[in-house]
Amino acid sequence: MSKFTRLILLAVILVCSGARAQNYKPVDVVRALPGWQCMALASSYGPQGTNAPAAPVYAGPDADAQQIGTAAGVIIVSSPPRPVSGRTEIIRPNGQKAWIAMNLLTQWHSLSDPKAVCYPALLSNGRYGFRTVG
Amino acid sequence: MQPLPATLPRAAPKSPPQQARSPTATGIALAVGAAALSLRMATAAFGQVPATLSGGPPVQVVPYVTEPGVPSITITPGTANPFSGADGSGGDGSGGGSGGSIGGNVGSSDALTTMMSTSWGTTAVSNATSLGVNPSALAATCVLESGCQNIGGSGTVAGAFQMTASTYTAMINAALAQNPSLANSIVPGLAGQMDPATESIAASEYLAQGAQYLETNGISNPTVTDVRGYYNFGPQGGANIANAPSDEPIANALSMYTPAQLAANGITAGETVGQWQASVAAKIGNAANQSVLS
Repeated sequence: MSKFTRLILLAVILVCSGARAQNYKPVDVVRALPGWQCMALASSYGPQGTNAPAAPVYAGPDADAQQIGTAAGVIIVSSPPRPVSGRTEIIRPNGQKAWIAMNLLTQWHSLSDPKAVCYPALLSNGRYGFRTVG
Repeated sequence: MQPLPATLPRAAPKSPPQQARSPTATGIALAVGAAALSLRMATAAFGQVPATLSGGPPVQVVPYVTEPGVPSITITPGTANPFSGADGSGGDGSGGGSGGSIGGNVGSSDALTTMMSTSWGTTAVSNATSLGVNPSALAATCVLESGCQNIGGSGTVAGAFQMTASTYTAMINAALAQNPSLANSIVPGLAGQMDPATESIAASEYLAQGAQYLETNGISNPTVTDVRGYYNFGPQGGANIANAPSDEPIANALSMYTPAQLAANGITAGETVGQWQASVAAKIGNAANQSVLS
């Protein structure tokens, strides 16, 4: 490849890479959340896998507490769990506290990396998520 | 979802004549690069001043003497621009899905330009808007799935939005239940799957349901990239990807997949959530961080 062609390609790559960089903003961990742990819906490790339906979450532990949404994926649960009337407290991705039936949960684990350990974290985009360490 | 078509390898450029390797050639190359950069900047500058008709068309001159041979054209003043949400009300790609934010980052995008260049693009924009979906999110889906080409796929997957027959049927029925007036303009039955304008209704409904699912799970203001995770990896996988940092191995975000299942879904060893998100962003440009719901 000639110097001329290389310079042309370099100019094009510089322009294109600059345009793309502004479209993606990486998300970092701001801080860990001591006193909380990663759990998951037991159904997500079943036959339906990632298509398993979400589980209802409530404003409180009582049976008549209002449902305020659902929970899916990694679920941030108090550590150790402190069940009240069969429900335990969680933190939703938007930071809201809620309660979920304890019998729907299982310990988070990775089928592709059995040594991975998960811990809840506040992310730089403001969401409450998780980080794993393999 | 079907694997995306591989990027075609580009032919190696021909070597220029020997005399091109002179200082003059370097100058030409730099000039071309500078011109390309200038063009890029100029385009961005123009894009910040969108021309909109938010209040409808301008006041029309009403002739009191008709001119023979000129057809009569009537424009009702004050008619709202049906695409006002699609022609540049924001869309700078700075949304980032911040928790608890109100309002969306909805607007023009490179993907929308691609979809609008098709014969059915305008209708698709109208369909998305009528179902409360950001047209750029719909456009990003067709760009990712087919390059906005009306093509077949494996199994029952077909159309510009590459939906399976069962998903298409479920979504078109849900959309028509939500907005019955859409029934007047669709191709009925499964044939609608291969009519891009009709399939755009089903795809918009699917996007809306994905965004609403994530919102119900506490993910405020889901972005196009967030819902793309839902599209590709199901509700649980989508929720996990949306709540993972960029350097997280995507294999652990999809913790319920075995290594064989990950490989079958196109996940390479060591791939991170951020790399997957960046690959999505590279294909759809500034639609990546826009809100799905308008």
